[in-house]
Amino acid sequence: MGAQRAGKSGRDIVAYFAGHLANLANGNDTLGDAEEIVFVKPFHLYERVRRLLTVNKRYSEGLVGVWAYPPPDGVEEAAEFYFDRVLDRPIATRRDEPTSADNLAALVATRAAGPVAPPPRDEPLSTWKALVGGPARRRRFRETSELFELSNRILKCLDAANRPYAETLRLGLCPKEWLVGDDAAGVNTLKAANGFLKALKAKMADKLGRRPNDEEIDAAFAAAPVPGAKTGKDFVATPLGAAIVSRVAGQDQTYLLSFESVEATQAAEIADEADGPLMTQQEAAPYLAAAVEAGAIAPPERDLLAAIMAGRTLNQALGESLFLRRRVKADFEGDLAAYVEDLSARTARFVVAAAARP
Amino acid sequence: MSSTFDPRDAARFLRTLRVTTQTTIALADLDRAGERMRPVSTFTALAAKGTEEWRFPAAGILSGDGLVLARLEHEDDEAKVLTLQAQGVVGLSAYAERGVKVRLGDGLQIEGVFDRDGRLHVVLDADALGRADFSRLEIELLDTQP
Repeated sequence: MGAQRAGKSGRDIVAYFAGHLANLANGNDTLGDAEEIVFVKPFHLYERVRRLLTVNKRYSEGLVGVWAYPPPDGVEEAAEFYFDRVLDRPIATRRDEPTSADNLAALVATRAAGPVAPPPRDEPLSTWKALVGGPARRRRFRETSELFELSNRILKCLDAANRPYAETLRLGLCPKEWLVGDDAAGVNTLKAANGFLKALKAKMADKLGRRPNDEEIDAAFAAAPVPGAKTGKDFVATPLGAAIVSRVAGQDQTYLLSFESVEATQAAEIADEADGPLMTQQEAAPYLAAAVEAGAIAPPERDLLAAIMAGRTLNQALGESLFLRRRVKADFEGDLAAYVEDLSARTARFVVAAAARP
Repeated sequence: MSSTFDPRDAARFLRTLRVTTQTTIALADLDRAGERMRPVSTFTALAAKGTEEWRFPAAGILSGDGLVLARLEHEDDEAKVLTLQAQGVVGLSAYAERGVKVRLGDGLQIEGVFDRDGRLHVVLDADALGRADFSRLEIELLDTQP
């Protein structure tokens, strides 16, 4: 497996999952482009999503993290737990403003092509209930820009709902053990614990498979404290801290997978808290042009990204460009999707760096 | 050149880049992985040919899209039955009461109809078994509209 293919295995997998959900809810897996109406049957869609999470290794390993579940739980149980704790997790309101799930439900409701059941208001909506709880008979999102907006709203839900799950996986721990029950940890604690883990790894010079000594623990805690504990010694005496240290000391494959795979994937998500609508192709053009001028991407690569943003399929966007075809063949073993992910990552890195400059 | 961008606009660009590329890749993957409904479904695991006859996994083999399980069962000395069973709600809605063409390698093609429970029995007599190549098994929907 080459570097590019390894990168493709999970980078920004949450956005990829949101894109998958948008396509499935829009009937893009069963309906032809000319069909205007989609019937959304919740259980039918559930079956498709469940199959996606269990059969697609990119999801079962990168998103669901089946490797973190101890036997006898397998991929089916892990996918079921992921569905309950992430997709069907109620998204609580803040300051009486509509939640990301409310915004998703509102978009879905605009597509009604038949009777609409009144939304249940006694509990906060989850991503799943917002997606399937609206009208069963819907006008499809046939314009790609419309589909992108559906995907965008699903992603806003998932960015919030998936975070505690992803933080637990980053720690190399089983979400089923740490997101429910007496030892359940909040998302802020999990985030801080990941900071501690990162600092601890650095103090241990990334030589894992042994228990860290007191000095390493104290130094890591000083660099990245965890709320609720006064010292590193205090933290590693808590159930969560003890589990993290045990995982670091473990000789099994789990910690390798979790640190290297998840740290390089979900942890690498771009922290974009953009509130506005998605950019039009015209609005995005100056960013792509600047990336070309800075040498971050080549002119044909700018055209490829512009075509994708304009709603072309991958193959349409590739077009007849010999430059792009050679790159895909020579550097990505013919995997166009892997190439686009790499290109997107390079462009994002350039823009993040440019935006950070004073 | 050193470009600078307004952080809020840059965040919108990053989100747009993230959503558009990943949604487009997801659609391409639906096609490529066979998750998008296609008339032809192939089987990922292969049967092996022993010195005398094909050996089929006892647990059956699953189609690449995960929608159909194929098993080979003995009928009598002269014939065998290839049983195709649609899997789950998605498999049932895709195949129940629909006609298919079953291809066993290049040498044998048999048409049949899944019953309402998503099951299809294909009886293979001695002649068919002789021509069948179980290392290449695929089924093709004859009517592409679900």
